Amino acid sequence: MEDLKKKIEEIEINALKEIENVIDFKKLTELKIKYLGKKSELFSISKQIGNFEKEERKEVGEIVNKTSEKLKLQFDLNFKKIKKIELEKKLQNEKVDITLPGEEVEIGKLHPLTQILNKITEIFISLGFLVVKGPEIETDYYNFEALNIPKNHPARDTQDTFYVEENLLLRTQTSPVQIRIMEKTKPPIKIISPGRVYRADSIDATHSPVFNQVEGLLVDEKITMANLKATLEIFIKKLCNKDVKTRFRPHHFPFTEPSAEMDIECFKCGGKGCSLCKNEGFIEILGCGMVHPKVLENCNINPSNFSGFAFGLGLERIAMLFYDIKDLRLFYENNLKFLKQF
Amino acid sequence: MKLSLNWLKDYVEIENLTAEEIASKLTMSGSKVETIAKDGGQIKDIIIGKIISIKKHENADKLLICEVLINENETKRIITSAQNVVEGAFVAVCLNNSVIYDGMVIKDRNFKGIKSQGMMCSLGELGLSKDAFPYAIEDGIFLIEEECKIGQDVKTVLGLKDTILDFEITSNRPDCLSIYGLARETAATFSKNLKEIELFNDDLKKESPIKVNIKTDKCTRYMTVLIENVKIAPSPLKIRNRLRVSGIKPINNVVDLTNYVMLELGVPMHAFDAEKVENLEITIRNAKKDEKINTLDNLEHSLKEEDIIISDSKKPLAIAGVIGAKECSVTNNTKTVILEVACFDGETVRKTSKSLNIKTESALRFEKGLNPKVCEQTIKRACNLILNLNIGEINTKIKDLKNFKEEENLIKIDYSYINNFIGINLKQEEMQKILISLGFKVEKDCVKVPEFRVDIKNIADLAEEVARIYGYDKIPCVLPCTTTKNFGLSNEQQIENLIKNTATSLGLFEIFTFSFVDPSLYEKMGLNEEEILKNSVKIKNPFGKETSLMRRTLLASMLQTLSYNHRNKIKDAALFEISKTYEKDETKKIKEEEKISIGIYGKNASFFKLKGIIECFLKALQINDVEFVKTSKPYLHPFISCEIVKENQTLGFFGEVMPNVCENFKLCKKVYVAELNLLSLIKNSSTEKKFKPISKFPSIERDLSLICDEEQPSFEIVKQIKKTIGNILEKVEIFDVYKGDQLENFKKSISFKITMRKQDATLKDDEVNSKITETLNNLEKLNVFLRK
Repeated sequence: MEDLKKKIEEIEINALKEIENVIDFKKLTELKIKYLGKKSELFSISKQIGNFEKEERKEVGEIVNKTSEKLKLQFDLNFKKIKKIELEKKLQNEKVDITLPGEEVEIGKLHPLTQILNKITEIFISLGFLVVKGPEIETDYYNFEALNIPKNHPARDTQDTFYVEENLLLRTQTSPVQIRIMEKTKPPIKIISPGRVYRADSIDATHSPVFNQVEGLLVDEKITMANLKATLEIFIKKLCNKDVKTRFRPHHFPFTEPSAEMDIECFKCGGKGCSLCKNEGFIEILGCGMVHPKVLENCNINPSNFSGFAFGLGLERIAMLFYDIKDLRLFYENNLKFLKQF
Repeated sequence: MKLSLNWLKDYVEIENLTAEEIASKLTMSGSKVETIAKDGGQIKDIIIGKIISIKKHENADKLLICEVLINENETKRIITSAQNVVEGAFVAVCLNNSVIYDGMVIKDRNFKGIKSQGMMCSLGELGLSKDAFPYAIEDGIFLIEEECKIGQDVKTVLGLKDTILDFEITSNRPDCLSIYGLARETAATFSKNLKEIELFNDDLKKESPIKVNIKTDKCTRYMTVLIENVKIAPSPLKIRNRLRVSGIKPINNVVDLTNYVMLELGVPMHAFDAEKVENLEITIRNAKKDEKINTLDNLEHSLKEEDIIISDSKKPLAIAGVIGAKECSVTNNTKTVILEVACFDGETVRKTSKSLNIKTESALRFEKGLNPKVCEQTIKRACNLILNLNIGEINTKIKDLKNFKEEENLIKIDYSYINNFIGINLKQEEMQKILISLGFKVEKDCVKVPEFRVDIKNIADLAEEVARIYGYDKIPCVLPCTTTKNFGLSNEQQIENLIKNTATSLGLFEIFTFSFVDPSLYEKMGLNEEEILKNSVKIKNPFGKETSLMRRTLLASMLQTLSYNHRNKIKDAALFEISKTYEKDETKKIKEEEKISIGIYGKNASFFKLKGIIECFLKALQINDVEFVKTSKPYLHPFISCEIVKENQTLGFFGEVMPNVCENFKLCKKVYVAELNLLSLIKNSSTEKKFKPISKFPSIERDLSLICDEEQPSFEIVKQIKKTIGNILEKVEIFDVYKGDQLENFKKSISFKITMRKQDATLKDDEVNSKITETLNNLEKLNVFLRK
């Protein structure tokens, strides 16, 4: 009995010694068969257990189990070690130069004018405005007359107009949409209207026969100039993503009274005066004002019950300021080297 | 409009204000200052000297050495190459380190061995021209004839101590095209007093010998006065300088006076040589057809009947409000002058000035509309200056013909309305104070609009006056509470955005092109010009061919843009645009339609690449069951182009661009374009999304290689497969098309992978087999057979 114990002990010591440094999968598998397989010494001992006396049987069984558990544990440990080493080797072999460039994935871009327009539109939508569009080929009435610009009004000179027929023209502003909406909608009205407009200008760095405007209109009871200021101020702050300084400066438009231009503090020089702001410290951003009572009357809205404000901005102008573009022609040349930058 | 601050000082106390303060405050009260300029530029330390002797430089023929007295007992030796110097002349002298107009610092320097102790200035070096100093020459030393003392500062002597503000005056404020108008704005803005203008008191007994007939309602008032014993001379320096800094060339004291008064009060004036006016009889009438007039600008103009002229019994004397005739202008020999202050219809002046292409300061002011009431003050101011400046004598009364109804412009004022409209809370007295400072008169519940304010018509106009002087910056910011039932983007607009985002995710870049088309581009596309022009919207007044037509297709601009990029050595391009096309229908009604154009060339460009892009659009819009059918466009390859059809409606077309068209556009060989109709796409699209459970049962795949005629469209086979297999069909794909040696001539083989699956049960082999057999049987009718 004692001999048997000694033998098992010996097996254990020898086995552990032999396993200890084996990190080869094949060799380890062979050793596992040698020590724990059906032809192993330990197995044959366990088979002989029945030959022992009842009390001894239990003891021998326990010793055999304990030893084989111990060995199994060591084998598992070594197998894990081997796997780990193998994995490390594999990973090592898969090494790449991570500084090589990524595979080229070409995605397109929206035109910079669309990108700016989307920003503007999103802001007004979040303020509850409706986006509407109108025709580009307009009647004289909608483009001028209804907007308090009668025939021979000097303002018509400053907006050189492309005519299709005597009373049919390419709209010079997005404001006719105001009239079309007010004619068919009872206040409250809260709209913006982006679109193309046309002026008989030859093209240069700051003029183009085709350009884009965004018009805004809000008509309701008790709308004040304070409402106009607040709306446009939060708009521009959101658009610039910072707390820009603004100023409202009196101006003149035939279809608003009072009229104003909104300037923002020059973002290049911070108001000190530079070439961008022509030393004024401020940059003109948009025109606005309270809807002229005559314009409301023209649309059968009673100016004693309702008032409203309107504004209009030039998309190209804003985009030029935002993207630091000096030449408007770039927007319409569509050079991919230009388009890919936005 | 240029405003001399020296002139402004005549009417408003501004001594304690800087030019910058005045500019920024006036900008905020409605008169926008664009630039501030200092008269005399950067001139520093230039003094008056007197040339006492001139001798030749020994080493240089062209150089003169002048001894110039610069104070009682000090002379400087100054060398010049100018030959106009004379002994005894007063000159502007730069000493060492003096600065001239443009900022250049003058230093002593050597001229051929002799040191020049400074420099004598030309007009240009002082920032001046002959205009204000007609006696001087421009290419020589300025020999000063003004009253001066040796050693005096040149800026004092020449009156160069002025600052000029340049205003952008809006078209509704012709009254601000004047010094006095801007003085009023300044006074109101800074709460200062506005001084009154000195006027002539017409207490003369003798009636005017001038006879005036007004024969048109376009002249609402004509005032005139006879100036006798006129002494023509240059105007005093002060007047000349004020005109100069205002941008007007001084001529002689009479002409200068008319310009001076016009600048001061904003009302144009004219002066005639009375001896050239037959019998001192003036008629204001319509011109005769083709009546000729030689004007002050030395041009002969032919008039139209709508033009208004001033004439005597024989000839036109002036085009009303625009320009005078050369013949009766004031010259050095003029002895008697007829001064005119009149009021002409703005529209008429504007039209005449435009049609004759004559732009004058006078026309500029008339065309904005003047009130005839302002004439009186103007002529009285002119008379006052005639006497003060000793230009001539006034012995007879001012003649005044009125051709208008004297109405007062009264507006009912509601102070609380103004407060509510602007969103402020001003006291009645404060509003009244503002209005009074602007020249309004407050009477009980009305205000009387001053005659010079032609733009004030209603309460909103009054509200603006109050608001701008009170200060727009003091108006609070209060967000409106208005909400409306409908807001945000319409369904169509959302779909348009979806298309744009799909396009960019497919690698397309958005472009913006003009809505016009040059007809020569249609020709390059091989389109029948006559046909396409018939329904085109034409521009009556184009800027050349490029803007003569509104486009009927976006593809002309697309090809142009692709070509532009190709010519700029860009190898691959994939572009799209969403914009309108314009055309007239039979009833001449104009239709604006939004289209999508796509254009690609380069590495990955192919017909099927473009088709793939279009199929992605269709998938994004959930448009199913479209057919691609052959199309014929003169600019597309006849066999590599097609129309996209859904239920007999064309959604668009695409294809390979014809080689000759590519050549015409200077493009590479393989270019593919598409044009889709946005509205048709939107109409056929669906934004509804419903989840369909994912089947838990396995699918069965079958590959079929089929042989058919070369010409057989695969689409028909697919259609037949879909039809026969029915609802267990999950997917049918084509994975190979083969033509070649292993097949008969004019035959091709197409390989399909057909995937089938049931939603609610496992598909059995029998079912699949019978479906496949049925399919093959049906395909045989199309002459499509299984490849053996």
